[in-house]
Amino acid sequence: MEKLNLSYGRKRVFKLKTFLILLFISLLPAVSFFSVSYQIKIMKISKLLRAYPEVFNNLSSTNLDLIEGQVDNLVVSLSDKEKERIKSNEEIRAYIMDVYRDTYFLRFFFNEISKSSNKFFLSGVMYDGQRFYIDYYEYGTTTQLSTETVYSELGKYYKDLTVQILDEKNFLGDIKYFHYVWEGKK
Amino acid sequence: MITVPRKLAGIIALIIFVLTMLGSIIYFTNSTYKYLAKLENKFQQVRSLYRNIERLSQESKKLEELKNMIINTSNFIVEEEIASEDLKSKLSELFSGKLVPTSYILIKSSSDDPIIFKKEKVSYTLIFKGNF
Repeated sequence: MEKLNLSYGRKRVFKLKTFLILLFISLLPAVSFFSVSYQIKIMKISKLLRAYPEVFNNLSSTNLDLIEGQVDNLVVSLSDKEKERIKSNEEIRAYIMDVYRDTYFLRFFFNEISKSSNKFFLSGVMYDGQRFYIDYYEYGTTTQLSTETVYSELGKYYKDLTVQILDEKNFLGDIKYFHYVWEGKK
Repeated sequence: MITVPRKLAGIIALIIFVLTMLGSIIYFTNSTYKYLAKLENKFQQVRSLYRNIERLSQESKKLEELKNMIINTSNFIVEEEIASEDLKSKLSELFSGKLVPTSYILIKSSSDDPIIFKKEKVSYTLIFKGNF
């Protein structure tokens, strides 16, 4: 008996329903991936909120869409608070530094002469709340209180600083006296 | 009955698969991976700000204490005549590690000229005034 090939030349087709099912199946992996990544996002955000209680305690809503905006606002308000604290601390520090400068020149002078083996005679000190003036004599073969030290140390805190040697004379044998004047402004 | 050629259906399904997968990957990268990294960064910023504010508050407390201590010691006047050997101890006593707001200082020796130690007795006029 002769075999008949009835499908020869026939176009292979899908019914519309089958085609739609095929489309749906091709969409499934992407939808799953999308769904998994969204779940990962939720899990990670929850984990982050647990790890950062300082953020969690300041959130008014844990709605995922609102979290970023709330954190941004929190950053701005905390930055303002930080700036405010820095400013207030700087003001107090400036006041303390101002008080420190009221007597620092005198403390420095007595500290330096206590380290020296030369003898010193303090002739006068004057301070009017803005300017200071120290007049003293140093006795020795050479001067030990170096002008550079005075400039570098007092220069940190005072303006218009001058260290002048008014007089240098032989005193007893090879011992000289050096007459100095320091002046400066707060 | 509506039919779709198999080849065409296969190509359309493949294109949809590739495009939607690409979309999902892009979503994951931008909306999940990058978003989480950015969010964590912001959380860290909040933590660091909190810690900084806490540190500044502690510092502020100490500075306030010091300032109050200074203000409480500002009302004083010292006017005396003292011997030269007592000058240093008197000043040490005045300063003694604390900060004193001072508006006026005068230390004047009884001699203006260079002295010979041990031979001359020198006394000092000492005036210290605080801020009122």
